[in-house]
Amino acid sequence: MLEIKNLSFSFGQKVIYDQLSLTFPISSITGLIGKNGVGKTTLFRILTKVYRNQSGEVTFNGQPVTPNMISFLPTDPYFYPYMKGSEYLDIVAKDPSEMIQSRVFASQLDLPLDDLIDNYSTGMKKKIAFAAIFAQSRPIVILDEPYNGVDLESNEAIKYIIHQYGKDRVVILSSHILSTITDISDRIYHLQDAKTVSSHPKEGFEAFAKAMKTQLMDKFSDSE
Amino acid sequence: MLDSVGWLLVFIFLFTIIGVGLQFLQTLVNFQAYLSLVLSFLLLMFLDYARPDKTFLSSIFQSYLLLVSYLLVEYVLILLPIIFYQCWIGNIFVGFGLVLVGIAVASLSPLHRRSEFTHVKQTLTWLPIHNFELRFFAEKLGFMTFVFIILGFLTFIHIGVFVVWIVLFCLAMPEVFKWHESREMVHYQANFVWKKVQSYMLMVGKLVLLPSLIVMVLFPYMWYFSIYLIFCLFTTIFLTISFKYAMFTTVFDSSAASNVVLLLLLLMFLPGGVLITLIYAIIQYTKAEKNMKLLYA
Repeated sequence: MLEIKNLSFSFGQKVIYDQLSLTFPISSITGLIGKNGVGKTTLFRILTKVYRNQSGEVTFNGQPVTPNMISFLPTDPYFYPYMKGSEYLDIVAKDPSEMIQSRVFASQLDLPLDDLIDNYSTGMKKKIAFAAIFAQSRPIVILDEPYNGVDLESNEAIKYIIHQYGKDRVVILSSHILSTITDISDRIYHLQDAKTVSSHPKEGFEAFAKAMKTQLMDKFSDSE
Repeated sequence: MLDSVGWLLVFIFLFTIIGVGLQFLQTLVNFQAYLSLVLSFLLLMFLDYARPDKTFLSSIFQSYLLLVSYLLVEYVLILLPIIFYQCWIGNIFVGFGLVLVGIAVASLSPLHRRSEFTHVKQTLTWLPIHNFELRFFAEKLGFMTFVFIILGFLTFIHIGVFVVWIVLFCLAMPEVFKWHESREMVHYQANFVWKKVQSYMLMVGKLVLLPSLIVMVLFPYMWYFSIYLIFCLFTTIFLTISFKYAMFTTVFDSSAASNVVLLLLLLMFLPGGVLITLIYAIIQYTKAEKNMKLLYA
């Protein structure tokens, strides 16, 4: 289990997390939602050690989390220049089994591996990064907005891959499209501010989605 | 436009240094004046092929004549230190020949473009994929890589060719290690940076072994000079890799290009300058190992 205990973090005066505690069980897919700037990406960056947490601890099965345990797909993946899709997959893979797995994902996502990544579209770049990162055999997978810029067909393929190959691992994904999260997640964390996080199990997704919609409609009608 | 001007200034600076350096070498290794024609041609072709502003320039100067005139001015300016020096020592014809070299390269320039504008590329499978920085750089340069390899085999002609070859190799290194790879491309292990340095030293060592041996056998009286140059090359590898990982970040795309590194590389070719470069490289190396440990361990 991935456990975040009493995590606090701030950028100068702006408090992002104040004593935040979350748990992510193994063999589960957890969706993370929240409005822009609430700290979803910051949480991912703390987990991957880009930022240092100012207090609190992050553990996996009781041991401190190290970046080598985590596969991380950023919102805007970047690529080394003048590299072919196939070369990228070869470099990212640690061993032949990861290499084969990433090729399988790439074919499911319909990627032209002999082309230069520099010439890929935004969606294709996202897909190849997803194929390479998800094929890594690491126990924690973090996907920051994996559906951004991806076409409908590939959206479904990504959902299928996460669902099929996310077993035995902790998968955390964020998205601004609620349906893409509710379709595959086992639980949703809704980050509201530095202190407030609401947890929603699978059976409560429908009620949660309805409540979110009503809340937003009320907000818009009030502003009119 | 700024990009174009920036490139011009950088290359004028670089080639002025190289121009002065070549004359220094001419005295030191009895460099034949006519060879400066061949080497200037190769250097200009290399520069012309590698410059990133060609598409921009051809959109500004739509007529072939205008584009060639602009390039001619640039290239003659670059060769100016060498032209002046040749005229100064009485080689008027060589000086005139150098202007003709500028005209030739400028005229050929609009006829070829870099292969990065294509969707596919020619892969150099003989370069291992884990040395991807050098492999992608060589693939990007395409034909110029071939010319560079041929130049390596021509070192038997004169030790000066070997000198130019190694200097070019060293000056290309900051460009080879300019870009940071993304987080997932790094397979971290203890002493990551040192292992990478070792891997590159081994591979580059294999590449320069034959030309170095040829030079040492054919020009035995200059063996110490050849060894100094090879030491400079390995120091360059150590410096550029260390500098890259000292600046490494996993958050966003960034490059490790630095004027300090370039200046230190130029300093290295002055007698004893390599020691200063080596000290700086060691400092960067400790920073790099620390940085990578912080990001990955």
